[in-house]
Amino acid sequence: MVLVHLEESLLEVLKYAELKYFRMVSDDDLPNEPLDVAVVEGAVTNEEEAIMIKKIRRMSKFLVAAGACAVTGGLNAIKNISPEGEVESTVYSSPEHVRSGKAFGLNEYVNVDAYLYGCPIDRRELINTLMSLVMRVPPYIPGLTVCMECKMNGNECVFLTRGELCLGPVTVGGCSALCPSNGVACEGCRGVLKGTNPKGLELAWTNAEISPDLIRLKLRKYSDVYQVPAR
Amino acid sequence: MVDRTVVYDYISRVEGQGSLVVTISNGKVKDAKLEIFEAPRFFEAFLRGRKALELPELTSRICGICPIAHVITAAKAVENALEISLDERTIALRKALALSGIMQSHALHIYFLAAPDFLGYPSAIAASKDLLDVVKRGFRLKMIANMVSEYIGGRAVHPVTLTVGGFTKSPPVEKLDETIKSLDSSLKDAFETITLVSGFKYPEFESDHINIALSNKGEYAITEGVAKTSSGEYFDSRDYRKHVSEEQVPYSNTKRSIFNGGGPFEVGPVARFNLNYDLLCDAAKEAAEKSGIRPPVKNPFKSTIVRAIEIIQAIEEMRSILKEGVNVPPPRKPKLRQGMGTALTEAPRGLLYHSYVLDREGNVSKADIVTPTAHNSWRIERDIYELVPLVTHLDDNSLRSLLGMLVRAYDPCISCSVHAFTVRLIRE
Repeated sequence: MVLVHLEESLLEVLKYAELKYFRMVSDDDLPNEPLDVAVVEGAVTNEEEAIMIKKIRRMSKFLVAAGACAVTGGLNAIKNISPEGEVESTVYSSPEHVRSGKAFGLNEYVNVDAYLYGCPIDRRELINTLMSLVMRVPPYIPGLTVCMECKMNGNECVFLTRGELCLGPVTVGGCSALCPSNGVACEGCRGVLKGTNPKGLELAWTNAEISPDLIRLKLRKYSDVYQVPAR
Repeated sequence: MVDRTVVYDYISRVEGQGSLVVTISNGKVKDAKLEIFEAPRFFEAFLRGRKALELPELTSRICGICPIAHVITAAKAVENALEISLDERTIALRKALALSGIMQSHALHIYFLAAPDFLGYPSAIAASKDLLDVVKRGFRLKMIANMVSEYIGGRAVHPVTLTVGGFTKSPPVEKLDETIKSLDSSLKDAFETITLVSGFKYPEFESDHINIALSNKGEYAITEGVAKTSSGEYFDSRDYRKHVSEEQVPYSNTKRSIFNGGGPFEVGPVARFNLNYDLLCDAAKEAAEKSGIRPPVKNPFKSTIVRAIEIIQAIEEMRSILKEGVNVPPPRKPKLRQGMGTALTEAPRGLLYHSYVLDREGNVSKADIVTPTAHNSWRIERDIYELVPLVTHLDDNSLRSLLGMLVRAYDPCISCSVHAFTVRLIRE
């Protein structure tokens, strides 16, 4: 999706790479030849999708999981903790026709070579990753948290000044702390950065007498903060 | 006797995954099924138990093309439940944000989803080898629309500043002039788009059916107002479920919407144009005249022209809203309470409904979301029944591509309706 939001930059990238399959913008069918790079969005939620991602993996030298759903299952994965069948019958009157299992990121089924974090992914990171692959160098991996980027922007802390639960201290940076810079707490759409301390953050919130209910909802949103995705 | 079955597996140039299966017998359509096979994400289920104030942010993720429509509609439904009223500037700025989303979605549809059919290319990217100026114009329109979304919403896809009760931050005043200038410059591209789409050769086909669009006094309604129908009825979002019911169909993950217990209906740019033509600005009316269309538009393929006209309407209205100033008061902390809230707005693809039941702590106990594509899905199938008998002389490939164009004309957003499309044609 964000590929079309690259606008004219997309044409620049396509000077170096040929777009073989993108059903949303082109009639071209999935080719029968190997691909250099596959960029895949979305979570895997049923058997057909699992078969498809395995097929794409076999065809491709380099697989990029793009966006929160492909990285951790995303918001869809909130339903993973509900009992089997309950979600289906909430939405559909005849749930037996509707097939959907648990939502997982791509790495539940296949090896992933690079991740683009966030909901949505960042335009610049997408271009950088594609151009790195064109130049055959490993794509850049963000190593800072959103909280550090927020400090560098000189923002007031939304937790310390307004008591809002912010996932910035444990979330993968690279977004320039866009939400807190707009006065909104970080919701952790980019997933948890390895080496951070979600338990410590939870403790800080508990000590600040935040209701356990609010904490629970915050910790289980775009990803489960206690499940650090492979990278 | 089955003449043939035409199958369009995984329809291209629509958002999401779906297919179309049409069975033709004795020159008539025996069966037409729009199969949405994209896996449902169960938003209405996992929203239960979440906090009311999270709803704009969470429902934004229903769609990457029209997140703005979901954010605004969810915020309005929660404000409706909590009895929060907004000041005039906030309402105007929300409309400008909604219009930027419509402009972006329409530019994407015209140049990247629809135009390849009329220009004879598999994609706009393939077309850019011969028609670079045209494709770049499409990108420019999209870019300026996204720039306005980002200016008001903090980010174009999944805006962050729009919240229950208003905006967390006013758009930066120092960038206002630049934003208005960009809009000024895009008007030329928008009129060239009118020339482009007026030159397309549209299949000759008309279907007559009920249109439903938002209506409000004195404006081309997008974010405020009540539903108006071409049959002369009006209803408020609170009464939506008295007029629109839903039925599950076994072959699809999208539910079918039914008007007044009777039949299908159409929402979207054509319905808005047909019902609210008089309220378009002068430039948009001039564009309509130039392209030779006037209401009621009954040829679904010509929705492409209507989208181009709406781009002009959006640019004009965004300019005038921004020129009146962008400073909005900070939102007051909402007081949570029990209640039910509903909202109807115009998403790029048409009427969008959100409804929530909240408990005393402001937790969501029930969510009901009906997207424009869900509203239109039965209408699309009925169009196929009416169109195919007129074109049975076509071979399978030509028929498949014509039906693909018809489906595309409604710009279905399958991710929204659930998520996926394919056309299978079965001739009997």
